[in-house]
Amino acid sequence: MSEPLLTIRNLRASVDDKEVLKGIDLSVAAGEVAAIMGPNGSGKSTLSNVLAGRDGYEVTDGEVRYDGQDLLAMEPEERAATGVFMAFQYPVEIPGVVNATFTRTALNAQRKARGESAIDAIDFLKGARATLARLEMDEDFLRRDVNAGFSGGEKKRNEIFQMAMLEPRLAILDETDSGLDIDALRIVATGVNAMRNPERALVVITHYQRLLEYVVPDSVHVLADGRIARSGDRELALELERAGYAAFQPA
Amino acid sequence: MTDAWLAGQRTAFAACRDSLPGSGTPWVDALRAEAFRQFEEDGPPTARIEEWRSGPTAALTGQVFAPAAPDGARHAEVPAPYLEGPRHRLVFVDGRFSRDHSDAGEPPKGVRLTTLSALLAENPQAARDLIGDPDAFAEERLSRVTDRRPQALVALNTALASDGAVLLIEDGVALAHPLEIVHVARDTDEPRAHHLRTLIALGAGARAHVVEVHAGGGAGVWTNHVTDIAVGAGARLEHVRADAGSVAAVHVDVAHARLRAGAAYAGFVLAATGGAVRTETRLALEEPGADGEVNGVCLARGSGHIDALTRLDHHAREGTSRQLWRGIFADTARGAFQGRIRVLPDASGTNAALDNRNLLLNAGARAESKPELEILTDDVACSHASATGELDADALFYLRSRGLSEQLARALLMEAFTGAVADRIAHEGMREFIRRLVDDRLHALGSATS
Repeated sequence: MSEPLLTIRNLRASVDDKEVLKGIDLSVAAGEVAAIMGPNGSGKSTLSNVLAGRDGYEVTDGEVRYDGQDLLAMEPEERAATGVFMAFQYPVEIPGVVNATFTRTALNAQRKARGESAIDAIDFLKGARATLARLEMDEDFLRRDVNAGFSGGEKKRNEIFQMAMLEPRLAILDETDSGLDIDALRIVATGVNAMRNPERALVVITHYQRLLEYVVPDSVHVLADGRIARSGDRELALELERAGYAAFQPA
Repeated sequence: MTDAWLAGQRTAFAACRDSLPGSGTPWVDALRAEAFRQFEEDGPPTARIEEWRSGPTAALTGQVFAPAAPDGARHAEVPAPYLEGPRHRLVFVDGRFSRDHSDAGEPPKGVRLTTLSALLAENPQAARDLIGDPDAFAEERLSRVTDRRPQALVALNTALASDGAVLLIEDGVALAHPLEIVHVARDTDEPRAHHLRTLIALGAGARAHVVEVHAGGGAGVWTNHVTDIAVGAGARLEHVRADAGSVAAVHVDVAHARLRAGAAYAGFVLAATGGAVRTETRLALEEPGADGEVNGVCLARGSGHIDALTRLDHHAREGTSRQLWRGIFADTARGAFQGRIRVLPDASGTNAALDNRNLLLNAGARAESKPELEILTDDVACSHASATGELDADALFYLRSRGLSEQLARALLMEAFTGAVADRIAHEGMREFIRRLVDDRLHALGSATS
């Protein structure tokens, strides 16, 4: 087996001088769907923020290799250009920036960084319409301002739409299932499943198991108190659903 | 310094009063003399005058500007037309009409498109008659204006106005194509003042779109520009003013508009500078059902200073007004917005809103926002909002995480911030022009801070 697409080794990180990640080890191969589950306060959002490169998180030890590169040394936009996508738990509202313009600007910024030619507006629109249809999203989404006035479900679907358009090699979905009703969950899951292919890795970060009923993971990792406490297959998620996180909580 | 500055203005008036447009015509001479007397009485603007509290008084009176000399317009570098498509274009260079650079086209019947100098030279009595209410025009609009004194710079403009565009439209006539007025100020070694007067009068039910652009400029240029506007009953004027000046010019731009019953004035102001800008807009909604809109975008960099003032006075019932202002200040630039809605006792049923937001791009930048409501009657709906902050860090990160460079992300957010104002411009060609100009100026802000 070749080198995993994503390798996290002994990752330690602090927020406001408080250590939250206490030595994470995790590998995700291309083609794999890995679920990271954990109770509140276990470090899930810190992990996703560190991987995305948000300010305010201090990495004190360890490393993250992505496709043979030092991910932590890269600016957020460099991570995006090299194929890393973060679907945020709380997508930001940006009034005044039209969704279509934003998504095409992002796509072309990434393509430019990779030395590829820009996609023109017409080709972009063609692809965007097809993707929207697949996600059961109205074309109106393209004309609306980015997430402005969107419902929780619409924001999450907009993240999936962007993911589909940007075609990342590594997608990290941070609590994408939170706040979704059952129909929205099914649509989001369909969108995520459509992304599965042998070249691409997906990391699904979630508190609950319910998204994993639709997006069946290849591996499941339990994050507790800043470490991967246990790893397993899909059965582990089901076990957590029955027994809860009690066994992983600090006494 | 102000003594020397005042003395400089006296010298200037004495030197050119006999050669200004309309000179030799008794009512014009009397008006100019009276205006200069009033200017002296009011004195130069100082921070002690409430309306000039945050104004660029030091930049204004810090050097003595002599009136620009009327030569060499032929060889001036005049920008290509700003508006695409059919338009009427009047170009003024160093305060004088430049026939060579203008293209007035063929205005429809019922439209008089000319210049202040031509109007006063050809037939001063007709000029007086054309204007309709000569006393009001001469005494109030050309000198005492419509608001409280002191208005020293307006009075000085009346005394020294060297030229300006004149647009007079008869009842029921629409100017189909927009009018583009361009003022080019050339930089010189000596400090030079440009006193320009634009007159716009729309008869009942008339329609027009006018854009006034100030170009050129430089460290030695002071522009003192006044636009007098009368909008007749049921008439509609869209009026865009853009300062595309260069660093360190002192630019004073004042527009006064009087609105009759059911008249509409839609104004937009773009102030973009590294120098000093004072922009004033005063609307008097004099009769019932008038609608006033005054929106603006202020972009300052370097040690630039933009002082924006609005005065919207609702005199009569059922009037509506809106004000939407956005400012972005980089480096050590500073901005001030003083916006006032005044609802007078007879103006019941008024609906007025004012919204001012500012972005500070650097720790050294400052912005001050002072919305004022003065409501002297019941049964009105007035609102105001103001806020000053930085670019949203979460939004920046979100955009960068999608692959946009920090610079591109900042530019996109700034474009969104100002775009909502520019989008209010109804005329497509003028809107596109302003959007391009704003983008261009935002780029200058971006590179100033990166």
